[in-house]
Amino acid sequence: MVSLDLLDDSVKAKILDRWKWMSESDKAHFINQMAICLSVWGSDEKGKRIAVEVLRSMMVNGTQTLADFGLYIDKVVATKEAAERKDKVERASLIVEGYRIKNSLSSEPHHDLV
Amino acid sequence: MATGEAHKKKPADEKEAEHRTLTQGVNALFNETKKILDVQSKKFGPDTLKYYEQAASEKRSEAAGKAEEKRVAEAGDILNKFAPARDDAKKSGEKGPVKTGGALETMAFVKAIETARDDPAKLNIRRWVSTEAKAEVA
Repeated sequence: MVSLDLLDDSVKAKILDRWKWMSESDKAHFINQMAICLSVWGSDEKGKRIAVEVLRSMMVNGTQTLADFGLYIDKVVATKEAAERKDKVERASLIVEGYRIKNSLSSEPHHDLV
Repeated sequence: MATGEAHKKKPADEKEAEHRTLTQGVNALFNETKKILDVQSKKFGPDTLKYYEQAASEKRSEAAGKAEEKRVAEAGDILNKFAPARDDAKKSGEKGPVKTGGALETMAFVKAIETARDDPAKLNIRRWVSTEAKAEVA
C-alpha cells in the first residue's frame, strides 16, 4: 500500500508508542517546546511541516521520548522544509535550548540501552 | 472475522453521532488550550524569552572552548538579529513568543495522537498539516 501521509505508519506507530509511555511532565515539556517552535517559525502549513520533520528525525534516531523535541531542531535546519525559514528555525532552536537548560532537561537524547 | 462488513459505509446517523462526539472533543480540547495558552503567556513573556536566549548563549560559551567559537558567534548573531524584534514585542505589549496559533496547533497535534491511540493509520499527519486549528470561543 502506498502511504499518502507525510509520515509512514512505522514512524507514526513509534510516535504513538512513545506518547503512551511518557510521563505527564515529559508531555508538558513536549507541548511547551512545540508551541514555542510553532509560534516562532510559524504555525501555518509550512511551519507544521517543519515540526513534522523534527518528529521524523526524532523517531528515525530512536529517541525514547517526545520531550527530546528541542534537541532535534538543529537537525532540520538544512532540510528543504526549513530552507525558507532558516533564521526563525535557528532562533527557535536557541530559545528552546534555553528552555531546556532552565528546566534541567537533558542535553542528550534519550535512547534505549542496548 | 474477515468479511466485507468492515468496508461498508457507515449509516448517516452513526456518522453524525461520530461527528458530534469529535466536535465535542475538539471543543473541550480548545477550552483546555485556552488555559494552557494563558499559563504559557505568563510563563514565556519577553523577559523570559531573553532569559532563555542568554542562558543558551552562556551555556554554549562555557562548553565552547576554541573549537566552538564559531557556533558561539552564530548564537550571538542570532541574538543581535532578533533583539529589535523582541524589544518591539515588549513595547507593543505582546505577552511572549507563544502565540495562539502555535498553542492551538500543538494541542491539535496532541489531540490527534490521543485520538489515534494504538492505530497509526488513524494518525493523519497530512490532515494535521493542512488543517487550521481554530478555537471556539464560548
